[in-house]
This record gives sequence, C-alpha cells and structure tokens, in this order.
Amino acid sequence: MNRSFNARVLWGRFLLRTASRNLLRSLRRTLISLLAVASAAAAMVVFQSFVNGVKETFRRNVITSNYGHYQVTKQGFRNNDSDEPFAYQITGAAALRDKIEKEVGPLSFFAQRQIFYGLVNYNDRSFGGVGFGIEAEEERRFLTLVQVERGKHLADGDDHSIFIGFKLAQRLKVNPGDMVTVLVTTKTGSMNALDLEMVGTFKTGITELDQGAYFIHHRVAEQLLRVEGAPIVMIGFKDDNELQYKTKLEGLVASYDSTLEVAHWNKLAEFFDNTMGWVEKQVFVFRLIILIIATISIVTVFMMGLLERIGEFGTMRAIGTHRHSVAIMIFFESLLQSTLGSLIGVGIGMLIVTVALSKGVTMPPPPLMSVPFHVAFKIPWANIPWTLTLCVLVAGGAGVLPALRMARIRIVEALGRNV
Amino acid sequence: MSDIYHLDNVTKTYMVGKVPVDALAGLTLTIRKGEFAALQGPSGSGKSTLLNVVGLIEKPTTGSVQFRGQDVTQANEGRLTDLRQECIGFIFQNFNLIPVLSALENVEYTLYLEQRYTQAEVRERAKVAIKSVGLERFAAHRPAELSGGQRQRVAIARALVKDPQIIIADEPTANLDSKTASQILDLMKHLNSELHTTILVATHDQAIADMAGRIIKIKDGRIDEG
Repeated sequence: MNRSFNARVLWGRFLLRTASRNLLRSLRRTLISLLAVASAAAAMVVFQSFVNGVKETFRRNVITSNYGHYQVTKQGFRNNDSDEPFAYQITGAAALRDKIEKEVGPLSFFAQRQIFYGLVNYNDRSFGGVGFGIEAEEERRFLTLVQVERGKHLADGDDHSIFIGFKLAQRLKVNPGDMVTVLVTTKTGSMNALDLEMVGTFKTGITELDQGAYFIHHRVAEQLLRVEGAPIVMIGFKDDNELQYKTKLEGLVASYDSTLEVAHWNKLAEFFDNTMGWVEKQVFVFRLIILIIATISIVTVFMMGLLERIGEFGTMRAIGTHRHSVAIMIFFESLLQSTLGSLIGVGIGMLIVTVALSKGVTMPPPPLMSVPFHVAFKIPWANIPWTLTLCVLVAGGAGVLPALRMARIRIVEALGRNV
Repeated sequence: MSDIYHLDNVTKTYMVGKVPVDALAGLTLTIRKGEFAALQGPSGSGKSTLLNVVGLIEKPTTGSVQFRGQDVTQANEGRLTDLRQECIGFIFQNFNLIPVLSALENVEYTLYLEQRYTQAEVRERAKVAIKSVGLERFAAHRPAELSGGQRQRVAIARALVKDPQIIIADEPTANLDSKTASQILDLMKHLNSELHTTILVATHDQAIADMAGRIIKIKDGRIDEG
C-alpha cells in the first residue's frame, strides 16, 4: 500500500517536473500567457486600489464635509423638526462634551448647529434660504465642505456677520462689506429681523447649498430665533476609527439624557451606502470583464501551444499514459503559469499603485456636486490574497478545457502529427 | 510456442468524408510468442492500421482480437491503456521521444508510468536499459542533442525497459542511414534472440525482412497468402 502510494507520488512529481519544463520550452508563448494573466491580475489590483481610494476619500469627505463622526439630537428631531422646529433644542451641550471626552475618547471637534429657514434681503432683492447657526471656528477645524469663495469665513467674534453661498450672493448682488437683512419666524411665532454684514461667500460644490444657504454664528442664531441651545450637536473624534467609540458613546448619551439619541454619519448619509453599492456593482462587472478577456486570451494562447504538441500527447497515450495523467500534466502547466502570472501581476499592480499612481487622480464632480475630487489609490491589503486566489483559479481553470480536449484526442490521429 | 495474438476476421473501416474505406478487410492472423515477424506490403495496404489494432491503439470495426488468450475486442479505453503500458513496447519511425526529457528520463518515463517502482529502482533499470543500447554517455542529453540513430536507440531502450511481451515497430529504420539502421537491426535481433521478446515490424527495408523469422505480407487489408 505504502509502496503503491509512493510510486503514485513519484509519478505525480515526474509529471510536475515535465510540466514545468514544458513552460520553458516556448518562452515566447509562455511569456504571452504570463502577460495575459499578469495584466488581468495587475488591472484588478489597480482597480481595487482605486475603488478602495474612492471609498476612503468619499467616507472622509462625507464625515468632514457636513456630518462629523456622530450627531446627537433629541429623539424625534429627524422626523418632526418641520412640525415643531424649536421643540428639539439641546441645552447644556458643554457639559455633555466634557463627559464624552472624559469617558469615551478624545475629541477633535464638538459643535452645536442650528438650522432654520428665513428670508435674506439686500436692497430690493429677497430670497428664501436655509440658515445655519454654527460655532464657526470649531467647525472650521474639522469640517472642510465650506470653502471661502470671496471675502473671509465667519470668526467666533463675528456677532454681526453673515457668510453666504456664492450663488445666493450672486442672486442678491451683494458683495463683502454690504449689509443684508435676515428675516425669520421666532420660536413664539413672531417675526424677527437682523441686519448683518456679509463677510464673505462660500462654495461647497453642492448646488443646493451654494445657491440657498447662509451661515451666522450660533449665538446670533439664538438671539434671532429667541431660542436656547441647538437641535444638533456634531462630534468628531481625534481617532478616525470612530466605530470603536459607538457603543460607549450611545451608552453615555442615553445615561446623560434619555431623550437624546446618537446617529452615526453612515446613518445620516444614506447616499454613501447607495453610492458605494453602485460602485461595487460596477467593480463586479469590471472584474468579470477582465477575467473573461483574460480567460479567452489564456485559453487561446495555451491551446495554440498544445496543438503544436499534439503528436507528443499521442505518443504519451500510445505508450500507456492514461487520459487523466495527460490532463493532469497539462493542468499543472496551466496552474504553474497562472500562479506565476498572478504573482507577477499582483506585484506589478502594487508597484503601479505605489509608484506611478502615488499622487492619486483627480476625478470629475460626482452627481449633485460641482467640484472635482481627488482620489488617493489605496492598496486593499485584505483583498490581495483573495485577488491572487481568484486570478490563479480563473487562469488555472482556463487550462481545464484544453487539458481535457488533449486527453481525449484520437491516438492514431495525434501520432500522425509527429514529424 | 504459444500464441500472443490471434486476430480473427478483423475489419477496420474509416470514413473518408462520407465514403467508407476498408483499411482491414477480414484479416485473420496469429502471432506466436518469441516470433520476429516482418510486416510487408505496399503503401495503403493496411500495415499501419494492423499495427494500431495489434498495439491496442485502435479497436477493430468487426472481428475479434485476442491478446495472451484474452479477448480484448470490447475492452474499455482504460484497460487497453493498462495493457499497452504493461505489455507492449512501441518503436516509431519518427522516434517520438518527449523533447523536454533527457534520454535517461525518456526511459524512466515508462517506469514511473507503471507506478510500481521506487525512485532508486527506476533509475537503476533505466540506466541498465540505456547502457544496453550503448548510450550511457548520452544519458543526460535531450533528444534535440542526439543524432537520429541515438534517438532511435533511446526509443528502443524506452520500449524494452519494461520487459514487454511484444515490441511493435513501425518503419524503425526509415529515417536512419544504412550504417545506423544496421546497428538498430542488430539491437532488435539481439532483443529477440537473447531476451525472446516478440517483435512485429512493419517495414519496407529488405534487410529487416531478411532477418525476420517470418514475413507477413499484407495487401488490400488482407493477409496476402500468395
């Protein structure tokens, strides 16, 4: 039994050795096959790195644009704020900040934000818009969505200033230094107005904000609306791996005030998952196309090489080699080729990402945005073994059909091809 | 001498396009153990087809083939492969060596294939076979580095290393010069006379026919009794 097993192992080793030598016999053909496999593997690594980069860039952009890592609101605020706009004000936010920093983790950003609707008037022009009462300098440290287009950003001391979306400013025909009037409905239902100096205009790339939003300081909003506190508290942790704080933060906020709730940015920006789902589907189709093209190339090149050796397979069969042994030898060749090609391809792909694409690429504005965004390629290390395995399996599997075909050749016909 | 082969009323019909062509047309033949038989006949007479049927590479269309007293006409492909592997040595006109293997490895191939021997046994038997054809100095050479005669010697070593019941040779000297052909013939004669290996050779070479103990003439797919 043992002797028989050893003899089988010896035969297997002999076939493997023969297969590996066959790879070296037509270097040009082997190189073409390797190139086909390597190109597919490299393309997959580069594309995955791009998608990974897009995902990471998109995630960072969503967090730092307008959401923070988490937002704390009163329960029901997100469903009912239009019915009772000032019923969800959170007061005493400073104490909450201290508790979070002490018990959850170090913060890089903690800001209250008021949202209201009001009319902005300059000379004989008036437009409705969304007003934000913000803690200007705190937000600026963390959030990057708002970019100064003209003039300057709001500062913490600017209690009589307003910062306006550049398209809204164009519609109002207002310039930095001009005084505009903001007219709102207060908590009690009365009208209130404030004259504010426009310190600058901003650009976010989001059309809706650029043509209909404006910022005033949070304290000014409290006076204007006659409210205390703000309905939204935005939180950003120093460590960008924010998920580690989720459970602790939720527990702390619930124990601090049972009417409060915590929302992760991903829940607030539902479009993120939708967009990434769409991207993932594209990636899947792209991978499929790459693999199909690579498989066709590999089968074609491989088959050409095998057809030249058909007489040899005839001899092998004639002298008593079983069909499965011929098929196994050819499959070994295919597997060796695909493993080598995949390793080279993955290496080349990582090299391209690290060297040639190290600066990333600038992509055109996505839907609803008006500014291009920069994508830094990011090698998906966790996916590399999977990519490698997939390439080896697909490229190696491409050898199965030719191997079976050669194993089933008519011996007499094949022998006739020996010259 | 006992029979190693008995072919009874064997036909083999090929389709050339839509036209059936009888390569063997009711051929009956017995080959005895230890015989050195030369198969002669004009081109297209059915020599190669007969060798393929005897070599268990092709099944007859009708008739029966008995090998060592067993009817192998209906044997499946796996069984026929086993029989070729264990009992039959082939020598081809074009040598048919595996180009990526050395002379010694080409001989070893047959032994590894049988999956019966240890590595040391394979190496030892292959060396003996290579030595018996006078190629020990060329054992590490690949076929491309050998002359035609040397390649045919490797092919003979490959055929004889497994102690076959029969060696089937198809025009083994056709691609060799007369001196080399003579050496190959001596080798085959030695195999037959000393080792009592049955040899069936298809040939146009009169020297082989003169050496053979029996001449089988074939014409139009039948044994030519005339």
